[in-house]
Amino acid sequence: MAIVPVRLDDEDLRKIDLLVKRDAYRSRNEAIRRMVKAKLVEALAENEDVSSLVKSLLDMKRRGREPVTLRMKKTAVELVAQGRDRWPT
Amino acid sequence: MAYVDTSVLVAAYAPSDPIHKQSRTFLANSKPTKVISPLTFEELSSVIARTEEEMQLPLLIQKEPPGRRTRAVVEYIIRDSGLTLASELGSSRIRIGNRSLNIPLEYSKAASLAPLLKLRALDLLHLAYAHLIDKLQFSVTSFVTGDEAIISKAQDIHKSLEIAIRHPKDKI
Repeated sequence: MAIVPVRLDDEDLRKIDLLVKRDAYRSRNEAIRRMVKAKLVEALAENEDVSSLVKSLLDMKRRGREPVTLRMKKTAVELVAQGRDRWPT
Repeated sequence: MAYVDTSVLVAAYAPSDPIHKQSRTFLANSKPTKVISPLTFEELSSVIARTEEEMQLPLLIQKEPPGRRTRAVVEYIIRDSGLTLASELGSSRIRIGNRSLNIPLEYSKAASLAPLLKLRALDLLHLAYAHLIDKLQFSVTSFVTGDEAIISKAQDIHKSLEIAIRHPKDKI
């Protein structure tokens, strides 16, 4: 594990110390490491840009053609409930 | 504002569904304005991915890889239906033993609703979202669903959350 010196302002450090005092983290080191990790996961999360595809679908709809039609054997309520029943409780 | 359950969204795009027409009419009306949660976004993605083979889609979508296909259909449904997707709601601190930790706010709310409503975990999470969106982001007065298990608890839900449970066929 590498050591990276980082400058933090007093206000942020005070807030981090407060969280450590409240037992949210065991130490300043753990707090900063976990916050950086959470931000990295968030920043790198897969988020497909499908705006041009969606625009094409909306254009079709405006021209009077429904572009998305679901033809399911089950009802919508059954399909959604099926997914919910499988949620591990 | 009305919180829209996933079943209503799915039914609106399934012409053979028993609540298709009511769902379609409900979504087509500009009032009330409609909101969904990140859970609805995820649940809709799951239904779309699971029923892909039974779906009629234009060629330009069919040619896309599965991930982009599902994402595009979900975003289309959200935008075509004029839905607002509520953002992350924050976290709640709970103490387990000698450890204090953050958990998503909707999870702690759903857990507190469990003994009152005795519903399935995901139904409770949707109701927790509706309640928290009402408290933190937009005013939510109704929860619109086709699910009879939720509708049957309408009185208890209203008593606990002050949110009216409605079927899409109801005048809202």
